[in-house]
Amino acid sequence: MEFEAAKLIGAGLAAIGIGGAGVGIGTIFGNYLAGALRNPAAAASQRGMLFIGFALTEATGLFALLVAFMILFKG
Amino acid sequence: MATEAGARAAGEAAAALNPLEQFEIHRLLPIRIGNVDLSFTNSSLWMFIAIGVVALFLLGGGARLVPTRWQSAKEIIYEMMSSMTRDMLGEKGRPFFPFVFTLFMFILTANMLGLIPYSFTVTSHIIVTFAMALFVFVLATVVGFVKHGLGYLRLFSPSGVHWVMKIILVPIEIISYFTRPISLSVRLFANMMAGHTMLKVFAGFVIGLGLIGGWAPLAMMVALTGLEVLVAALQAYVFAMLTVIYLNDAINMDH
Amino acid sequence: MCPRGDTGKDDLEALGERIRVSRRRHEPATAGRGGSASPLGVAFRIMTELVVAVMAAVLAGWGLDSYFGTWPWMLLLFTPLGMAAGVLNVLRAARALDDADFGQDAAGDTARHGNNAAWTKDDEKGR
Repeated sequence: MEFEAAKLIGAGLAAIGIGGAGVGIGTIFGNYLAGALRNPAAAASQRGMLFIGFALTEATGLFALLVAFMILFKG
Repeated sequence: MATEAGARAAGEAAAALNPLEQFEIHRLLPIRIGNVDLSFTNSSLWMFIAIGVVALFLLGGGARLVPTRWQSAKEIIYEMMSSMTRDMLGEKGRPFFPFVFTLFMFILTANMLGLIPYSFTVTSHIIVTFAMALFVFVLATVVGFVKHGLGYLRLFSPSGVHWVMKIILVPIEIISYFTRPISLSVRLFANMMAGHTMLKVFAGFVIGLGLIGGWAPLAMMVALTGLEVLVAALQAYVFAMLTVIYLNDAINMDH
Repeated sequence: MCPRGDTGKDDLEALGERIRVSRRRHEPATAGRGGSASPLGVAFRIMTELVVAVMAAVLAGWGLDSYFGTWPWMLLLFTPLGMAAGVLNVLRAARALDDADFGQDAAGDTARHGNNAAWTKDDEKGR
């Protein structure tokens, strides 16, 4: 297989891993909303934790995007 | 033959609009001492600019009893870092507050400065973030050994666990302890590099689709830049918070 | 309770004189440390300890690498060691500065109240 074609296929396969970030971020925000609707007074105190959880989950998904970019543009 | 020529042309076309070109290091002032290349690069320049911006931000604005807006901004950031340090570490953590605050301000400023067009994002190189993460890791380890002696190794065997489980758990804990600097550095690096690469890729789409279709990628770029501002601040906060957590593990061993 | 007018001022002056005398009696014990440095000077000294330790270790690691040709392992070995040494130097310097600043006055206080920011069990007892 040609090198360019292999690179493109590899980058496409690596980018599948970002779906995990989507699932994770949706879970975090969904749980936060469910908890906030049950206990609105306590929701504001956990907003910091919400953003921290979002950042950590997004980072893990971005590891996959990073691999895709590295395959695509550095090979 | 034809496919090779086609591949080469495609490679050249890709190189013309290469999103990774923004991460290249250019020597602004070549300095060689013996065998070592200590040039003043664009990375060093933007690090100095980041330090200058942080210094100006912290030194200006006045120090009145009724704060000005600038002073309020400084106090908000100070209070955020101070309360985070105090909540997690208690009074024993006061000596580490300047370090955490400096780390946060530097990473925040470096990330934000990278969003200026034609600038260079200092933290988008793994060596920069790895140096910072390695230092945090070494600091937490040294502090742990200074405070607890060899009892710091009890960090790897959590209490209240049956000894059979410990045979499996201790190696896992040791490995996860050593992945701390890697995850800390790669998190910041991946966020910065992926974010800026995405911005460049969409910018390429804007030019490629021209005047007719370029509005859709442009709207996407506006949204992406907003997200990048949020990510810049958030990743700086997460880096500082993880530093505080690792120091908490070292100072107050709650395992 | 306190007398007003001229007698009050005399009392204050007598109190001030007693404070000055007792301060002069206590000062020789702490005068040996050469006066207190400005905060900027202290900060630069501590920063130098850290930076010099790291730079020296990096140079040593790089030098050993170029001599033995084992790039990059010596550098990878010596950089964390230099960072650890720098951190230890900073901790030691900070503790020395704490002792010089608080000296004997703190010893009595910590014996009575305990030290909240204590680092080791020795510090908690006020040594």
